Amino acid sequence: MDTIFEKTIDMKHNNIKAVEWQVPQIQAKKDYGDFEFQSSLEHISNDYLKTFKSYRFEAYKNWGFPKWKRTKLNGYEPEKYISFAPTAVKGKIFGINGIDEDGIEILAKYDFEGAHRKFLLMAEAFSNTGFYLKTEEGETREPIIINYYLKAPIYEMSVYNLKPFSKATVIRILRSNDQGKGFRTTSNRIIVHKNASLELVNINLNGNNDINIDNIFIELEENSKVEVIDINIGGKITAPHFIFRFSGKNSVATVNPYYLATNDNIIDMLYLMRFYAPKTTGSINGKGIIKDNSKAVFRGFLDIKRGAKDTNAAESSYTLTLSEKSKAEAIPSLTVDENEVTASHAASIGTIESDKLYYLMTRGFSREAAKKMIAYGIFEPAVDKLNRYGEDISQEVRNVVFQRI
Amino acid sequence: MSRDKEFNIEDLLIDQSKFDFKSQVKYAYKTIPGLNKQVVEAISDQKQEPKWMRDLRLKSLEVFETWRDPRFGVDISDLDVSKIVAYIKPDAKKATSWEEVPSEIKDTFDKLGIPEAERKALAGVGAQYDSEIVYQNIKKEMEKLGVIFLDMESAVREYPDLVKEYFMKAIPITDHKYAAFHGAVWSGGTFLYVPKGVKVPLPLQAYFRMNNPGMGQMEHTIIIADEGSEVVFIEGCSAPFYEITNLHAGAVEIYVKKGARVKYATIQNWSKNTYNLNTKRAIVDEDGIMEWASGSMGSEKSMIYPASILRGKGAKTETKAITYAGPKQHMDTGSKVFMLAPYTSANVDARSISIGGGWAFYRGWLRVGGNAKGAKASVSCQALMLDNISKSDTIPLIEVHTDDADIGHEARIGRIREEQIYYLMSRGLKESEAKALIVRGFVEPFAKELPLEYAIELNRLINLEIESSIG
Amino acid sequence: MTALLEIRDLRAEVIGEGVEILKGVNLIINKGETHALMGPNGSGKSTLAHVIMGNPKYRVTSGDILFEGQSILNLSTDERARLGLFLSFQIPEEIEGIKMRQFLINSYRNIHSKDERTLLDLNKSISELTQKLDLNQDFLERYINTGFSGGEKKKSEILQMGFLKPKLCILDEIDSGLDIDALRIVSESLNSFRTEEMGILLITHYQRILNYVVPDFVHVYIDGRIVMTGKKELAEQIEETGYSIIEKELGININEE
Repeated sequence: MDTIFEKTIDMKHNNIKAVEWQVPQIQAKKDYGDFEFQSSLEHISNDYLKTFKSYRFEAYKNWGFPKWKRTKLNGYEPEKYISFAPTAVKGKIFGINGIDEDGIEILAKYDFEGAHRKFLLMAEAFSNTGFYLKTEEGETREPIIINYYLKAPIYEMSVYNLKPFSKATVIRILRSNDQGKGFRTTSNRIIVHKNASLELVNINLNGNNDINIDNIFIELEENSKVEVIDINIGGKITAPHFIFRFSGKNSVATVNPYYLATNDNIIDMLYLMRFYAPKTTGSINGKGIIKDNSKAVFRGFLDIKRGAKDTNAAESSYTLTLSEKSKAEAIPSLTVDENEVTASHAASIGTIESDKLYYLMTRGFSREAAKKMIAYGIFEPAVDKLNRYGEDISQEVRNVVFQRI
Repeated sequence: MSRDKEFNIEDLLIDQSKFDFKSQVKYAYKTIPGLNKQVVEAISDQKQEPKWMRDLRLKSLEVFETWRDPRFGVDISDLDVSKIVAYIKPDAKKATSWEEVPSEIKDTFDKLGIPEAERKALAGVGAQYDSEIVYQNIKKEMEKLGVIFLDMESAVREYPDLVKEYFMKAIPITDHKYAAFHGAVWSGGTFLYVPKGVKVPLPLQAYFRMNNPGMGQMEHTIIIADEGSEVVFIEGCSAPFYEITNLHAGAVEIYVKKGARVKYATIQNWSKNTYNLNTKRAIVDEDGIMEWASGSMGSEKSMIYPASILRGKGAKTETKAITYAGPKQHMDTGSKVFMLAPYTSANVDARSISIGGGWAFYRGWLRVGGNAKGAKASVSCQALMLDNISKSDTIPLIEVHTDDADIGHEARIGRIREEQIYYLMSRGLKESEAKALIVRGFVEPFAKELPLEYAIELNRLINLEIESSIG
Repeated sequence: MTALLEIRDLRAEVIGEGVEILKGVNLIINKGETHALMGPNGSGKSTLAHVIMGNPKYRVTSGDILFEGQSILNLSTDERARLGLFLSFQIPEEIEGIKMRQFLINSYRNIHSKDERTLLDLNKSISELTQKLDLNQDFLERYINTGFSGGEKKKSEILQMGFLKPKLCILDEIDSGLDIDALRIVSESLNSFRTEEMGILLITHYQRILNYVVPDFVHVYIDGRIVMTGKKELAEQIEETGYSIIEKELGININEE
């Protein structure tokens, strides 16, 4: 069986190639090795899984950690390894150890780069937590909530296998104790089969010293539907990395990223939608706020391949800057190889409109209060949507946002 | 809806044959293919240059040999510098009137319609033929105004201090590998200085021509618009088709001083085997305005990003660009804007048409620095894909490092929209007429900015649309 | 008795442009009075409203604005609002993410900080007002003015006026963009909100609304100043003959945009 390797940046046209940027790498002084790998097998009894992980470990050894200019990452020294990362789960879902043949096939069939190959392989080779979600055909699964605690480093390897006509809702919440330097890297392969649908909500409440790299690959088959809300707050480096692969016609995906960076946070987001099939619809609509010395980088990539006729792709991002020293960067990228499509992107960066500020002040709100209200207003639609999954969750997010704005 | 006669994609491609002829001209001097110290020194000797320029060339050569190739953009691994002959000087003295130009060379220009342009009352025409300015003509009014408009070599000799102050300051030789290459072997180009408060009433034009196989065109143009002055400069380029690779690594440096205004319009129509790695940069001071109008139609591979550095308060820049990517063409073009001072503003309107397997790639860079309070920028990219085998990409980079800025970017890629066709048809146009009109409308903002012969070329392309359907 | 609002020879300019936009305005509004301010398009009537509210785009160059006897020139917009000044905007701002209900309640608390009405009570008032203005109940769940039609936006402003019970109401072209029915509803509500304590400055271009909301005084505003004051009949005259009557009487040239 051939592996589908979905590269993040794919620049060629017929016989013409373009020059592709190579990220420099730095070898860690004390990288993870056999000892940590053996530790990671402690809680795994599934032989196929063990084999897969060992291949990934071999590949891991060939890579160094990246030198990332925008997030100021100069290589990385892994923390002390813990073989089991505690997570609290509500709802019906297996641990990754419960993966079946069907799921292993998914692991073997689909591969992707992740924010950086090294981090993706790290999550897989050294996974200390992970889940296997498999729905029955036509099943509607009750919402699943996964709670992560960023105390010790988290390496997650998960597979979601949504059978045709099934529906699932997964809410992943990460909380940090904001004491030490938390670290998480993940690898998620999500296959949404024909006519299945997924609602995925990520809530990342990172501390100022945490590194959170969330690599998610989603394959959309015919008539499938995926809705994602990706909330990223804080973090020394927060790097969500989403790859949507539209392989089935009539599939639809929307992703709504919300981000809030304060202090010295850096949030570097990448959302890629690659369209292979006709009549597909994809949209990315990011909104966020930056403050103090923080930085937000929004990379929204829409890549339409030849043959994806009648695709409808749109991307937008809006960053509100509240402080002089905060930095907003946007790389909205649109690469199109099929002319019978509608594709557009937009990016805007701005500060609070003085007219809106004035209007609120005529209603007695002080300048500071009005600023906060307007800024918070950006997050409000997300918080509102979260009410569906539980008032406690939406209230928690509301509080964190209010506190940091 | 009825279909008009069968559409043939060949018809839509820009007809290069008008430019596809060769002349028999004697060459007085040819450098050895490849680039080394001897070649560079020979060039400097030929031009009788002052020591500082010779030193600059040698330093550039050093840099070129140590720098690596650009890590993005078109694939230039096929480019073998050693095969490019850097410098050729045709056997002709400099002429000051049209009559003095040798007849073979005059023929070439006749075929290209230069006399027509002359008759259209342009203030002065500088025509470059194989690295040397052969023909110059500045009307008396220009001289009276104190405008300095001459070929770069003469400027180096006659106005050394002025030139030295500006030469390769906007584009340092260390900027990138091909800037260094340029610094070592540059030849030809225009020097234009407009004194304070002078508003040049007519557009100035220079015309370039490459005629020898394997030749590299390396002209260097400097435009200095002193405080409160205004000038429009139009540049056009072409080359006939040859088997051996041609390289164009020219440079344009523009200095817009306080309150001055410069418009620089280019049409690039190099033939299909040219590599066009041109560097264009403007530095804009307080309340200055820089307008780029850039049409890229030819070359096999291009990397052109007109750049404006807004370093004075209230500086403005406007870029209108159109890129045409036809069969086997890879056009990596775009615009760069650096907003480094308060109350600066930028407006970019970049459009592309891709057809017949061409690849149009827009690469933009907008950087708003920490000092750019009150900056406003709006970038719009539109791409029209005329068939199903071409590619159109847009990858802009937007960096905003201040909180008091209003920055927007949008891009759209598509084909002609059904609603537009329907609306025009409801006003009585046939489907093919409606399509032709829309395409012409798409390109119109640029046709206005171009020299007549290119505006004609563009309209011809659109007229073909009128006769065939796009489908 | 101190006037509610007194404007003394007020001059102001647009910041950054140095253009003088108020050229010596004089006006006194007492409690319980309704004043109409009319003028040709482009005369800058709205600007007067904004300068009274302290819009940061404008700077007062000379003169004074006194509210209940005290100068308010040094107060910020929100401080003026808390004193009891209210401005109904000609084009109300849309602010996403903040629901109308929350906005109304918080505004009330800002302005009546010592008031002890319960949340329940306040919500009841809001619902009543919503009904009175013939607005959909889901209006309260929508974000501030977002996606509202022109008529809904004006009703939203009037609702705020009724709910916040300000001392001085400046209504900037509340009638523009309203159809007959909406105009009637808005005017009726406006009238019902009037009290003996409240002063109203009604800025309008057309005479129409003055049939419903009868003014005690009518002022004609041209080129940055009030040039003529009369009673309701003045408005009727202007309706018939246009502003040219002023031109003739005062010898001023008007450029109606």
